[in-house]
Amino acid sequence: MDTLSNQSIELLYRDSFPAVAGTLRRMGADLNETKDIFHDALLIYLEKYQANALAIRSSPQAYLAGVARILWIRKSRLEQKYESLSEGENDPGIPEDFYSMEEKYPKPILQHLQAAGQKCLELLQTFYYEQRSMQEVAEKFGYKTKHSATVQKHKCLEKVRNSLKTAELYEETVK
Amino acid sequence: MRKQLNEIRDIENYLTGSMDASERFLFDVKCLVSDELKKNTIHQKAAYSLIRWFGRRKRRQQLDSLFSTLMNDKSFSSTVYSIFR
Repeated sequence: MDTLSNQSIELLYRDSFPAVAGTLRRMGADLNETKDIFHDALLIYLEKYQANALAIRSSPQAYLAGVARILWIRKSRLEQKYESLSEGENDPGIPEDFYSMEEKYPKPILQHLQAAGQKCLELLQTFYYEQRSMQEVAEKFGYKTKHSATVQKHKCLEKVRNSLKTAELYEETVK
Repeated sequence: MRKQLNEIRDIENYLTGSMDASERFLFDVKCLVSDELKKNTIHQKAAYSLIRWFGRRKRRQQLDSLFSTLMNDKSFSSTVYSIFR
């Protein structure tokens, strides 16, 4: 999978942020809101870049500005402020689970999961989110072979899965 | 232990669309027969979402850090402040 280097990300950030800031400022966002929306747009861009799923007709800067604009409109609509999306603006390719985790899982459970297995989560993120190869995962986490890293990956995934199962059982018991 | 890890791998193949049609059909039948397999599949799918959530959180923290670094650059920060004055 392709990934952008840190240097490329910084360059993209420098080139794109001012234009996005100008657009969102005109739409009523403050600096902090603009930063957060821009970061969400950049996350979506980087994920699509990694998955070779970017379909940009213009420039990365224009793409980011367009996605940021739609994310701001979405946020404003959710907060019952103003503006509805016009036709053709309702699908910037926001991943289905981009915003839903906070709604689905209460914070204490998420913190519990993180505390229970930081190294496991780091390993799983490296493979499933950053989409590094098993060879890279093995090297990063000090496994001698790809096979041993793969076995550990599966054990970690089982740990997370079982934590979610336990959390659901806890919720059912408490209710 | 091996059986459990094989199940993890099979569920992953199912959820990522790596199985062919006959394998998918067989897996669907197994889920009909085994409530535990069905629940494990649901929870494994949720686990992938959780991993993406953590990945995004980590990346957001890196971007926040990058923003702070860039705001220490006079040229960048003066441009930004001129927009939000």
